Amino acid sequence: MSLLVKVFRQPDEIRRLQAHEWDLLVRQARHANLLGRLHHRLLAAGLATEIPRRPANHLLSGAIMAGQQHHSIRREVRFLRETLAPAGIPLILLKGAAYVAAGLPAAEGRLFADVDILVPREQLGEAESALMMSGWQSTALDAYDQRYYRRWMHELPAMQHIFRGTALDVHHTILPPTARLKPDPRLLVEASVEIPGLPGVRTLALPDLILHSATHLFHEGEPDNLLRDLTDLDALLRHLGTTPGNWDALVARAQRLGLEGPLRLALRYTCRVLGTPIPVSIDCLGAGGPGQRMLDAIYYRVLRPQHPSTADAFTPLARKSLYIRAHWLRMPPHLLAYHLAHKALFPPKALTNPLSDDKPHENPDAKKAA
Amino acid sequence: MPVQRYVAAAALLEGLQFVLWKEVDEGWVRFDPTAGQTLLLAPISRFLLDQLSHPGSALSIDDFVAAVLLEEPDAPPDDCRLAVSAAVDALAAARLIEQHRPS
Amino acid sequence: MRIRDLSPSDFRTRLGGDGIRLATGPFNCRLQSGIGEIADELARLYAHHTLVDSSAFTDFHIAVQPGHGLRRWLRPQALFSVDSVEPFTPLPRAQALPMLEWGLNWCVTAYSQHILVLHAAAVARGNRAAILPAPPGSGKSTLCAALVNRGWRLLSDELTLISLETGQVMGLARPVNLKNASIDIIRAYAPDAFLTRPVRDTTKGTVALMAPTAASVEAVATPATPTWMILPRYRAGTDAILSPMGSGNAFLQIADNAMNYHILGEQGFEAVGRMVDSCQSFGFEYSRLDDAIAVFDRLAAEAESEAR
Repeated sequence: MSLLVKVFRQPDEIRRLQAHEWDLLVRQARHANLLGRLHHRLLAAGLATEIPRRPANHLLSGAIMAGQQHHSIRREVRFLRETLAPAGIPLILLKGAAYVAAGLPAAEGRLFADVDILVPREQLGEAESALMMSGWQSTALDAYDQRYYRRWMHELPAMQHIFRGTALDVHHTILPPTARLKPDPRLLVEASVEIPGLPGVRTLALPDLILHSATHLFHEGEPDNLLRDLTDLDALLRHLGTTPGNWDALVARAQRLGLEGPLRLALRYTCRVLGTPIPVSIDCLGAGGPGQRMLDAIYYRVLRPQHPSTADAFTPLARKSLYIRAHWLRMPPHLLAYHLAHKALFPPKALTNPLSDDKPHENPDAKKAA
Repeated sequence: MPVQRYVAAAALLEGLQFVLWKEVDEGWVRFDPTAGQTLLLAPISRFLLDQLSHPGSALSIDDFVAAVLLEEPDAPPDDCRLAVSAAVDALAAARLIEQHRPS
Repeated sequence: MRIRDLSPSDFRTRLGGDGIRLATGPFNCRLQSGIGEIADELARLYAHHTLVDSSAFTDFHIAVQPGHGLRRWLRPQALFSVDSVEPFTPLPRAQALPMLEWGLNWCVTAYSQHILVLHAAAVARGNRAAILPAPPGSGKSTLCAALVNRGWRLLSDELTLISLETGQVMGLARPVNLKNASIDIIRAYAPDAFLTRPVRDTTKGTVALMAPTAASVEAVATPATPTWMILPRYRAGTDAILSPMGSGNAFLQIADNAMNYHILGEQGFEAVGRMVDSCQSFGFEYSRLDDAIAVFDRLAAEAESEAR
C-alpha cells in the first residue's frame, strides 16, 4: 500500500516518518492532487506539530492554492446565478462547485478545475444561449467533437469564459444517453436543495452528490485522479454518516435511481482502500461476480497515486484497461471503436505550439502546481 | 428632467464585511476578497462609497456634494463639485457604483 | 561542505548519478543531469552553495536530461523535469543551463504559495534590503549584477521571497541571468566575476549566467528587512534620479509584480501593506552604472547614520 494511502487511512503514521519518507509523501500527494487535502486531514487529526517545517510548507502551499481557488469558484457561482436566473433556468451545482458553495468538508484543501452544473434537458438550448451572451464560449476542438458531445454525451462541450478564463461544464444528466445505466435526471432536479444563505443557488441533495461521485469515479475516471476522487467520496460519506438515517436513505435512493452497482463499487473501494467507516448493516464488500477479481486488480493498481514510486509491471496495462472500460461503460462497443479510432487521427493541436514568448513555453498538460 | 442618482453595484454590497482597508499617502487601498479586487482610492472616493454602502441608498451628485460640505464646511463648493464628479466617474469605471435605474 | 570542496570528477559523477544535493536559500534542491557538458560551468555557478545530505528532505527533485529517442542526437534537445513533471516543452541542448535556472524559478513560483513571491531583484547592505520590481526593459538584472559586484549582497535576481510570518526577505543567492548587451557591460564592469559562455538564440536572446559572490552565498541564511522599494528604469543618457513614490502607488506596484498576490488573498494584502510600511519607495531613472551605485550607496549610508 502506498505511503499516501497509508497516511490517509491512519494519519498517526506520520509520527514515525523520516525526512526521506516525508519527501516521498509530499511528492505522492502532489501527483495525486492531494496536497491540500492531506494538509487538512493532518490538521484535523491534531497532528500539526508533528509535521516538520519543510513538508509543512509544501502542504500549506497546496492548501492555500485550494482555499483561494474556492473564492474563485464562489465568484463564478454568483456570475452564473446572474446569468441563468433572468432566463428562468435553475442553477443546480454539481461536484466540486457544490461542495465549495455548500461549505461541505469535501471541499477542504481540494482544487477543482471547473464548475459543473445540471440543467433540465428541455432548457439546454436556452441555457447555452444565455451563457454565450454572458461570455462563455464552447471549447470543442472540431466539428466532430461538437457532434459527439451533443449526440452522445450528457453534457455540452466544455465552456470557457472569454475574460475570466474559468471553465464550465453544463450537464443535462449524470450519465451519457448511450450508457447502460439511466438515472432519471428529473428526480435529481426535484430533489435538489437550495443552499442556506445563497438564494437561487441549488445543489443536488447529499445522497445524489454521493451517487454522482460514485458514478463519475467508476465510469469516467481519469487514472491520474482516481485516488483523489476516492478521497472525495470518503469525505462525502463521512459527512453523510453524521446524521442518523442517512445511510438507509442513500441505499434507498440508489435503488430508486438504478445506481446500486456504482454505489456498491464505491463502498467496496472506499472501505478497503481508505478505511471509510461504513455501518455493518450495509454490505460494503458485496459478493463479486466472475469479473470482480479482474476488476479489483485493475482498480487497486490505479487507485494508488500515479507516481513512479508506486508503479509496478502491470500498471500501464491497468491504466489502459481502465480507460477502455470507462469508455465502454459510456458507449456501446460498436460506437466505441469509431470514437477511439477517430481520436487517433487527430491529435489535439495544443501540443505542437512552438516557443515564442518570453518564458519557456509551458506545457499545457502540466497540472501539478500545488 | 429627472435627477441622475447613483447606487452601489450589487458586487459591492456582497461580502462587504470581508473588505479590508489600508491607509496610504494617496488615500486608501481597498481589498475585496469576495470580488478579488484591490483598488487605490482617493479619500473622497472612499467617502462617497461609504455614503452608498447601505442597501437602498441612491444619491445624486448634489447629494454627494452636500455630504462632503457637511464633513468639510470650509471646502470651496465649486472645487468640491469637480472633485465629486471626478470621483463618481472613477468609481463608475471601477464598477463599484452604477447609475440608478428605477424599475 | 560546499560545492567548491568537491573535485570536478566527483561533481560530474554525482551530477550524472544520484544528483547534486544543495541548498538554495530555504530550498533543498537535488540536481541531476545526463548532459555532461554543463557540469563544469554549473559547478562554478554554484561553487559556494552548501551541500545537503541525501537523507534530508528535498524540496525540488530536478533533472535536465537529453531529449528522447532521435532527439538525443538529431537537433539535440534538453528536457527539464521536476519529479517527473515536465512543465516546459523541450529546448535545444545548448540551452540546458539557462533551462535549469528557468526551471528552478518555475518550481519556486509553482510550489511556494506559503511565501509572497515577487517578480523582483533584491540586494542587501547589511540587513537592509533594496527590492527592485522588474517590468521588462527596466535593466533590473544589469543593475542587480553591478550592485552585487560593488559591495551589495545578492538576495535574488528574479524571484524575491517575502516571509508571511516575519515580512523579511529570504535570499536564494542564485546566478544572475544576463541578456544580450548587458553581458559585455557586466564583463567590463566586473572582470573578476564568473560568467558562463553566452548561449545564443534563446527566446530571451543571448543569455549568460553570472555566479553570485561568495559573500552573497555565505550570508544567504541571514534574512534582510525590506528597507527600500525601487522601481528602476534604464534611460540612455540620463542622470541617476530618485523620485519618491506615494505608498499607495508603491502598494499597487508591488502587488502588480507579485506572482501570487491573488492566490494569497488577505495574507497577500497584509504582507504587501507591511512591506510598504517598512520601505521608502522610489521610481529610479539611470543610465551610467557608477551613478546608480552611488545613489544606492548613499541610501545605505543615510539609513546607517539614522540608525545611530
